[in-house]
Amino acid sequence: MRAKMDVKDLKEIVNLLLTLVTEAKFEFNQDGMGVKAVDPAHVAMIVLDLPKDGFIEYEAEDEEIGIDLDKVKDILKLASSRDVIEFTKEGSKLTFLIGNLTRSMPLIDTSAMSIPRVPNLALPAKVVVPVSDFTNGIKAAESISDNVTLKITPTEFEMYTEGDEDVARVCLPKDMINEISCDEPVKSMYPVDYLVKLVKAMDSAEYLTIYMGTDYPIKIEFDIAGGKGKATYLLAPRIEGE
Amino acid sequence: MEYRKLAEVYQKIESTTKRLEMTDYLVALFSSTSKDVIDKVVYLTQGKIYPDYMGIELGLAEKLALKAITRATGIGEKELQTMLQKHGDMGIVAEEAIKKKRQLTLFSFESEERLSVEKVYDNFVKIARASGEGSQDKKINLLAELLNIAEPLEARYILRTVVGKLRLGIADMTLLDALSIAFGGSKELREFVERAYNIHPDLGYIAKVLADKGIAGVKKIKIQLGIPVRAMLAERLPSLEEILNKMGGKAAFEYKYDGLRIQAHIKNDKVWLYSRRLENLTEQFPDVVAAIKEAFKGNEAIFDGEAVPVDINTGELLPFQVVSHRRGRKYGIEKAVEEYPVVLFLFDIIYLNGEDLTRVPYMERREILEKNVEETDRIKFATRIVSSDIAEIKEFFNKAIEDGCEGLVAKNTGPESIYRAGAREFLWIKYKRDYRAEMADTIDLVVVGAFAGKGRRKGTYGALLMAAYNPKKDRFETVCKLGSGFTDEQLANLPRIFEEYKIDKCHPRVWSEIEADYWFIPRIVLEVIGAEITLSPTHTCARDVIEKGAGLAIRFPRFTGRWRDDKWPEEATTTEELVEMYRNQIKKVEK
Repeated sequence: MRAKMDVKDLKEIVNLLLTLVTEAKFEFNQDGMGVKAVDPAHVAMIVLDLPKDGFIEYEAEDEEIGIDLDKVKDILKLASSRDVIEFTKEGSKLTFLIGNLTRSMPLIDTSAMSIPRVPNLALPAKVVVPVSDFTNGIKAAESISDNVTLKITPTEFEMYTEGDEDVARVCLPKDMINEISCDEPVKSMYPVDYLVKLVKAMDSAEYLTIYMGTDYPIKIEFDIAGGKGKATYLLAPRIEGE
Repeated sequence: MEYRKLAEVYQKIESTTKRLEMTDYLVALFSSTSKDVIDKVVYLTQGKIYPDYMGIELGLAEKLALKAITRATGIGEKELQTMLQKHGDMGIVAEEAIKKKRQLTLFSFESEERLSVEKVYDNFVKIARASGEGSQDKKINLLAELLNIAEPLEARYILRTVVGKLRLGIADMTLLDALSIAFGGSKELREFVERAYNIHPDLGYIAKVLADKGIAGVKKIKIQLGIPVRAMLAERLPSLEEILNKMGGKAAFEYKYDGLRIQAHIKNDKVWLYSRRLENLTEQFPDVVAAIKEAFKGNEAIFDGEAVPVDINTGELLPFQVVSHRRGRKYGIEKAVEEYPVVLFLFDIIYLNGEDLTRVPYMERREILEKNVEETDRIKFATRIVSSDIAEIKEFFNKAIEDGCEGLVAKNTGPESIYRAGAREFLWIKYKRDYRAEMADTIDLVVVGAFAGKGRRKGTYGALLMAAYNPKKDRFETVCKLGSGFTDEQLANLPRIFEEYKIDKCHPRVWSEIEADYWFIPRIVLEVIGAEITLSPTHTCARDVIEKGAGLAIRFPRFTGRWRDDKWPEEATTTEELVEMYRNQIKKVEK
């Protein structure tokens, strides 16, 4: 396996994965690269796909590679965002090449790492919203509580958080939303820390496609690698206590 | 098997204090447990994952356990801390947290996932074994994974187990009862099951053998090198006369050393050391490991003995505390070994070259022991006499106390005197002294002789022979060997200081029954403090005054650093004063 890509794109992929795990099993085949990761508490999952076209150069057979993400992050610190990075698998090592710098690291044994199964979820409501509005809603929530509630009705998308006394709310009426499909209103509460990490790690996305139900997981789809790849993020809900 | 079933049984057991009811619940549980998991079910019920002697314990820090609960429930650590202060029990905190649980998982929406005994056990093993970088996080995740799917009641027992505080109050003996009934149909089999347990104290293993092969399998369980045998214990009687009587007028009497009971297993080059509570001590006593290998001439054996730290210069047995800091310690053992070497006093052998000796009588075992081990500096046989003479036994007892022992253990010399693993019976009877005379004040003693130094003290004196003054007889009577309290510099200077007082043999005004390496004219007086005054058959101080044949000795004497240049030897503490101190300070030892 040998691939060349923009540093910026690899950085985004690594940062997204690091919100949930520190090691991941990457799957390579002729068509491109994919990786799935679920956090140890099974609260969130991310699925990333970058087809062959998303790379500058790419050649691979069917291969699975276990990678220590913290190490890759350290390597990426040596590069600038405009650089190109090349990586090659040689035996049980992965060698990175950035300009004149080469850096090798051992691969992690993948035999003990399982690829998480993507749960089968029926999500009745869908909305497409700008990342900026979503990010605002999350950041406002973060200062108040550890939860944020998301709501889709046939006419609007709403994010709100209530603390003991403080309230934060982002409300997007139908005409400010790119797409909305919802027959019955749905509402779920989610842990805000997961979403904070997620929006911080996103780099390419402009819009988020959100699928939801009531007291049900959320599925968020968004672009990665400047639109060349796709990401799907799943997050389990919290339910009101007592 | 679902873990829920265990949790429900634990809840029932917790709500009763009646042993019979507990047994019934356990019998019902074991009877409905499949063979594949019976061992795991037994370990979990004991609040463990392995038998104790494996040395791998659960005992997750509460801090980490709280983090795992937070991860699994979404309830903040602060809130959990408040709950912990209120309930004082991690189990209840977890149970309440799961009840209130707010955070669901991605897989909660698919199927009803149930916690299995296997999954709980596996994660516990991984938690106990996780080490190194990132292991804390790993432990938290492994626990959170269980809590994700745990019901509140399950969470209660998972948490208590993982922090090492399950504490159902089930004695091993109750488990033995329950296993006997569940797999044998009655308590009749109890005897065989208990015998197996005493020589192979691993209830999970025994349960598995019972489930797989029945009582025939259990009867075949044998002593195995590397697996500790439960130690035989001694009964107690209040006087030597009663003991002699109970033993039929004659018995073997061994020093009861005040150290750490050690069972040593040897299989060719491999050695295991176990404590009385079956903890593995091998790592903490590399010196004993090396010593036993050197002293034992065969291939395979199991020895029973007591390890005691020894002052290499005075030969004095030291209180065990000086080496207790070795326990549970991984680093710096080498230094500890050098500072305080221990001597292992062997008193029994229960296995030799493939042969179980537990049914061989004591007298024969002792003979086999002495035949197969060569005494060295570090491996000795427990001092003993075989006697029917009460006066001789009493003198031997005084000697034992003076030598730093707790008392004596009498052993039956008849053919019935087998090694009863795990039992406390009258085949062995201990007798501890019931008084001690603690010293509050310093005394001034005269130096009358010295002993050549060993180890680090090679080339100088290892200890000084000290005496008190008897004005009536105008003589100096020995009372202790003094080896501690000196600075390195003082030690090095001793031969030079005493050079001018050196004489060829014991001074005529000194009464000593100890052969010193060097003798001095009584002249130098040192201030000394000791732990207590004991009766002594070796020292001559005030002999026959308190008890016929016994003098007085100072235990753990220490030089205070004060040279009494201002005192003539005749002004030293007198033997009468010591008798007075002994009488005033004697008090009952609390048993």
